Amino acid sequence: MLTDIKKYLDTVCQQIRFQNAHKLVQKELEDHIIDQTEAFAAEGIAQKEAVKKAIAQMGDPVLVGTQLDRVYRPKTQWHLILFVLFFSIVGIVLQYFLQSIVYEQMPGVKTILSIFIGMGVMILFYHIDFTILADHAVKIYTVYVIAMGVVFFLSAFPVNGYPVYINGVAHVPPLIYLFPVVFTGILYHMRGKCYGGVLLCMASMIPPILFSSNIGINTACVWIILVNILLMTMAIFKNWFAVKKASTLLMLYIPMLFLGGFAAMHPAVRRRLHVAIIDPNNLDYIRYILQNNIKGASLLGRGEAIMLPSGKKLDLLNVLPYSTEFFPACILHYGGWVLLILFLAVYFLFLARIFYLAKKQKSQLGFMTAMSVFLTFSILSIWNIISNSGFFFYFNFLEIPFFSHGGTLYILFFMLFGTLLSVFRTGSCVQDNLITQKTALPFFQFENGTIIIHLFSKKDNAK
Amino acid sequence: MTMDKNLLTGSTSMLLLKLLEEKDMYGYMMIEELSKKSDNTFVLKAGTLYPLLHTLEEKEFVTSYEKNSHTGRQRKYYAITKKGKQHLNEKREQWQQYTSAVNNVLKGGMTFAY
Repeated sequence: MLTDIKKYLDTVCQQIRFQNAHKLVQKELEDHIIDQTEAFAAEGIAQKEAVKKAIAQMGDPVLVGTQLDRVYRPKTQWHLILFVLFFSIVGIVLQYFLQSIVYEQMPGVKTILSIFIGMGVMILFYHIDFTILADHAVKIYTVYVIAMGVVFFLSAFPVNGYPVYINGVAHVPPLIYLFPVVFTGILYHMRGKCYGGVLLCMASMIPPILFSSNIGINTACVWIILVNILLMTMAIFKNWFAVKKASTLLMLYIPMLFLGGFAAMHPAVRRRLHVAIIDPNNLDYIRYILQNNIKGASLLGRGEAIMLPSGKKLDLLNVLPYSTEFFPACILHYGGWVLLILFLAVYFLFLARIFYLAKKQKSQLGFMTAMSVFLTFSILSIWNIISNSGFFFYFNFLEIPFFSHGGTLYILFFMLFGTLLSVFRTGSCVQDNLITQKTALPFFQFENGTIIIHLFSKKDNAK
Repeated sequence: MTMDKNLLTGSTSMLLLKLLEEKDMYGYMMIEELSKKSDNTFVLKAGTLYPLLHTLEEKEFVTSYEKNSHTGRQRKYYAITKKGKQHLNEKREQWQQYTSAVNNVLKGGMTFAY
């Protein structure tokens, strides 16, 4: 009996080339056959006969499969890939142009090589089923934290016999960019796990923060944690934890604000904030240059040379250290407002397109994974653009993904982009697993003079 | 009563959207409802229904979600979207124009009372 059903479903699926759709189609058709069989059985038809009749009612499996094959095709977002290629090419051309001014040399082979490696990584991640983020959330998180820890301890070197951890500079900040995607898996894994789930999600943020904070504050780390908090807020609003929203938001935001305040009290941060916000007598050299760069920019073409406090006028790259972080300022200086605005418009179109496709995701897992990448790209690029204006305080400029920076970071952005493409490729075939409809018991409860803390307990709806 | 196949195919998606306008349903439910409401005139095969439903979902006229049915089993429910409602209204208007035109012809043409 079951073999007949299986045979029918297998024949249907053989016609559907897009394998990710098989599970979804199989389940729905199987449910239908079972419903129909039960209806026939209720009419008094013997079970074996009922199954046969139900299968016959379904129609020709080859025809059904062929029709479904037309519906289910992997969706490759070629326009997003073209956007990324465009930014990469503009980035390299700009690097070539700027380096020819500063060093009179071409960009290193490393930069061009990183694009090719990045593309390879993107193709690999595009083909990996992104649902593994949820299916193996804890394993992926553990491997991620171990990798961060290993890099952290490997980058220690002894000074006067004591180890000094220089985690940030070479390796760890790039790894922190992967955190929102990994965190999405943890959030999804904790669905329906009440206040205990909320606390575990919050706790999961601690090890990566610890491995990433070196001088008291790390700009990338702060923004990535903000992305995670936003993702968690969305999860709370989507009722993933089955808890009271207002109290859970307080549970999340109060400790985070407290931690933020604590970090701001660090002497190094306080000094930097003081200069950045008050900036007495233009102590902040880079801010001064960037502000003057804006004042002297032309509509199209090269802007005025930068006037130094001494009255001396110099070209932008003679006064600003060469770095891909300053690319927006360089476009403005050498190309003018029109080129900068045009470039930013294309970049924001790219981000808007990602947001639109993320919103269209049917499954909550697909939506949140795409949002984690969207928020990471958006926050990094917006911070870089704001920092380049020179009218806002800065710690670290970070970068516009795919545009500024080459090397390891570039490969990492392609990793995120590949994951995003994987969501858009298979998202239509992903169905969220059902979680219990029961709501959580209050976090605190006073009973007979004792305080009871409910971490994972749910209300018994039968009562 | 049996109906011409072409006429049926063109209007099946409209009928499905109409069913979903009333309430969210899963596939088997839709076939049952359609058959009941049409006095067994429209007996849809599952093999016709699902490719059509999945196409409607692809076009964003319907959306789907998993929910436990009254039998306690998990089922894939379909719901009509705003875009689907607009499409249904357009299809309904086209259908009414078509049927009134056919009726007029069958009655022997339009009459002008002058």
